[in-house]
Amino acid sequence: MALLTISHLQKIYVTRLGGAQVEALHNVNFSVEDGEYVAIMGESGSGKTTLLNILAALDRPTSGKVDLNGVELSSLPERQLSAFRRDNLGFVFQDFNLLDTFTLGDNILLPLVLQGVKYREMEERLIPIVEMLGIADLIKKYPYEVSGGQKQRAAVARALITNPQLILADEPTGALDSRATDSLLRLFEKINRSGQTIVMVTHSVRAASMAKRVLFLRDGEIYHQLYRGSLSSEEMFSRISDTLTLVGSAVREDAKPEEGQGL
Amino acid sequence: MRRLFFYIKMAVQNLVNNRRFYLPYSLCCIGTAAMYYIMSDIATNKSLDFERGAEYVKMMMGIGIFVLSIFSVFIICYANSFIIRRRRRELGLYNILGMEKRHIAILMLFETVLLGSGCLIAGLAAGMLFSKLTLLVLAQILRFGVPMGFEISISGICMTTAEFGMIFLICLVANIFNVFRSSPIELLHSVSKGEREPKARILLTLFGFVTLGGGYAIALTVKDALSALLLFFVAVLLVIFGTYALFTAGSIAILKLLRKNKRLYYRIGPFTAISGLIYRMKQNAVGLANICILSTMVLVTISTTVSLYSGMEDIIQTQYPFEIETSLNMRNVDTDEPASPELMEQFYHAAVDTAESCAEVSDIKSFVNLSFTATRLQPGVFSVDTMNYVDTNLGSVMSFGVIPVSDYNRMSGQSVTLAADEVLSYNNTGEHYDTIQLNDMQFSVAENLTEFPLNNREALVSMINSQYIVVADQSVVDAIYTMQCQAYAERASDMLYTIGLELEGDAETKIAAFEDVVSEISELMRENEFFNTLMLSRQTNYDDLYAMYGSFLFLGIFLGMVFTMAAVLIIYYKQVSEGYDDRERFVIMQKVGMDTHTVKKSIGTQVLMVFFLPLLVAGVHVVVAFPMVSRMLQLFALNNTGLFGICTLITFLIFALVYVIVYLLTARTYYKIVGDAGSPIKAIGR
Repeated sequence: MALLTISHLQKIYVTRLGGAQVEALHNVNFSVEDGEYVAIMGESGSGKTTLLNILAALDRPTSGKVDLNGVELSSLPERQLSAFRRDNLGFVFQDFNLLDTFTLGDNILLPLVLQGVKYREMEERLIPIVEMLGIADLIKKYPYEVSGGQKQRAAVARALITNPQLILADEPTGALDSRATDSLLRLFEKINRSGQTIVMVTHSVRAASMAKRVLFLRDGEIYHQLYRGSLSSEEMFSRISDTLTLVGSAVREDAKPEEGQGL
Repeated sequence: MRRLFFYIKMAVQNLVNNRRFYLPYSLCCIGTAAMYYIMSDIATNKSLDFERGAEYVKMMMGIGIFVLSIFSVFIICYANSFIIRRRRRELGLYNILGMEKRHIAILMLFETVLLGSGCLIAGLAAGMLFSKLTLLVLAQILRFGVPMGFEISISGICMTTAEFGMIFLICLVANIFNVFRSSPIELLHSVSKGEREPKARILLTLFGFVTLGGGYAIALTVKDALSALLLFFVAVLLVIFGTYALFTAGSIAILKLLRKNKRLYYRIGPFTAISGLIYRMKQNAVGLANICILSTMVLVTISTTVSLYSGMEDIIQTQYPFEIETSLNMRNVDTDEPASPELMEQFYHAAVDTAESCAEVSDIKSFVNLSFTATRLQPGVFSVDTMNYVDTNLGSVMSFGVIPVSDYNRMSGQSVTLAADEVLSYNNTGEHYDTIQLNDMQFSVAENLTEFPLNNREALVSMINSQYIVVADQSVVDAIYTMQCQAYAERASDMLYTIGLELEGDAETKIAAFEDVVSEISELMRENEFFNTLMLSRQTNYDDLYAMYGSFLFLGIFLGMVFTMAAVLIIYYKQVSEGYDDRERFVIMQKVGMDTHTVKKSIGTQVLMVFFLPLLVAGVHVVVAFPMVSRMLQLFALNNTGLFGICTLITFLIFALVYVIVYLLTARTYYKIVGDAGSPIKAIGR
């Protein structure tokens, strides 16, 4: 039984004034097994973010279903969505989204505070996570006092602390330098090895090459997918590059007239 | 030419695009300009010149213009600096897109000229529109005749233009300086500067507690009107210092202390509230302290002036117990020869008959009285000695009055007889005596009175206690007079034969009667080579007092309006900047799993706490200031603490209502700004 099943997902945006319709997602189908590490790649405008928003229950699909461990997301009433998100999903964002009014420690504890966990238990859960992520001595610091990589680690800790079923990462390496990127990706592998399911949306071939499976999204559709299997990350890297080249040229050949129509 | 057109177009566009900032700014400029024009119009208006007390009004307006001109500089510069901070990013963008700094300066010049002249013209127009109305209200308050016609005050226009032209120039120079000083990168990033967590400043907090406590202690312990007046400004300064220190440092220290309590802190409400408030207080402390001080000023100014005005009848009754009061000095000033009974008889008729021939006399009181200062050494023991002033406190200095029993009987309708060493005693302290000793004169008290037909004006006006004794006959009064003359020499009080009249009729009749009485008595005095010391008319002083307290009231309300407007403007800008800051936090919290309802509730609570803190503190300030201010009002002969209390309460309630309305209106802007990020999808979507 897959942890996350997405079937016939369609999302149509209607612009506020003209009423012109844009189909951001068109019949997307895939599933994610428990303990998987999936990267979703695609160019700007391919529908990555829309897909992630729907997975995160921040947006509702026009049609189709998202099923997380037996719970159909679109069936949840609006009121329960925040609680559902808080309890079952962990988020890692490109721009960290740490609150500058809290220390890193308090930022990490925020979801637990929202869940109403007792302070003693909070401390018990905080210590192992920050030690694993190597930020134990930073929890008293404020976001503006630490580097981007350290901020992103704190954001990962915040995502992990509720023991979510699924971690959704939106361009997690987008704002990091290459060293911080490497270290974050190693961290993701480590977390994944411990059984945590991760779905990551990314531009970066290097980030994607660490995942167990890469989905390629183009014009709102799953265009292709690659399994890493026993490949090394270097081999995976070149496979992904090849696929992207293919996707890119395909776009150049048949997408141009469409763009012309769109305008 | 095309370039000029370009600048104008761009300036207009900038003003329109930033209307969220410029609209309240313009309203504030228009409002202050209108008020400035109205004040200068009244100060120079010739139609008031014929009224009694017009010079008071003009003097008051002069003070008002002075306060207003300084205040408008501060408030407009404050608003301007707020706007330019918010616009730095935009200006930085122009700089990067290729406009040189001098071009930006020219652009800002155009903006200032357009906005400034617009505000000035609108302000003058509003001022002219409302000056007539204001003049009518003022005439009503002052009981002046209604001025006719409508005229435009040229000097008002000139003064207003000069004042506001100067203010806009100051703002422009400050803005240009601001842009030239910073690099484009600084300009671009200055809005999103990382905020450091404020340090808890223990010393400043302590300083705040000490100064506020000191100010409060002065206000609460001050015992008499004179020291209240002397210490008032000290207390005000201390409270202002204390308010600023506690808003800036104290609030943060307290919040940090709360945060140390882990069990309390790590729960949904406090968690977001405390950490959020720490930041809010850092950014807003000074603004909130400003609002607090302004609110306190508004409340104190309006409540005192309203009290003075509505207590005017009381004040006049205290100062002028009779419609016409005239006193004959019972000793000839040159020869020290006593006034003969015939002269007293003539004096009586000169006053009473003349008054009766002019108006209907409803009440006549005539009595001999002697009133001098004495020191109360211990209960029933009074000393008449110049030396006693030096080392006694004000509280034991009394006004000591003596009247013969025959006059007392006539006025109170009783028939008391007293032996030569017997007296009736009356005092406002409620002390009862068996004997009264006055230097070496001993009297036994036949009765302690609880009511007395006379008010001791000197005692009421100069805020000291009063003691009256009713003595057996004129010879006792004479004896006390002689004793008092020896003790005080040339500073001794006169023994007076006083006639007090109440008249029926309108103001003109009363004034005419008074003038006739004055000329009749002057004639009598000239014939007898005697001098009367006192001629008082309540009616003639009515107009002066109405002019004086009326212009107090007018100024109080007028300045109160200006201060309120300033407070409103600060609140508005605070809401806007809070809105922009909170927007990001709002989005993040929702992403992390806080639902919209909780986020709104949490932010709502914080905003509520931040904005109502100044009102709350202002309320406390006013309550503490109450005893001190009511003592000071006694200097203006207003003794009616209850009236002052009611005025203060009503003023506070109205002000609080205005405050709440302003809050609700500005909160809408706030929620509009934050609400752009209200739904999570808009928030997360790039």
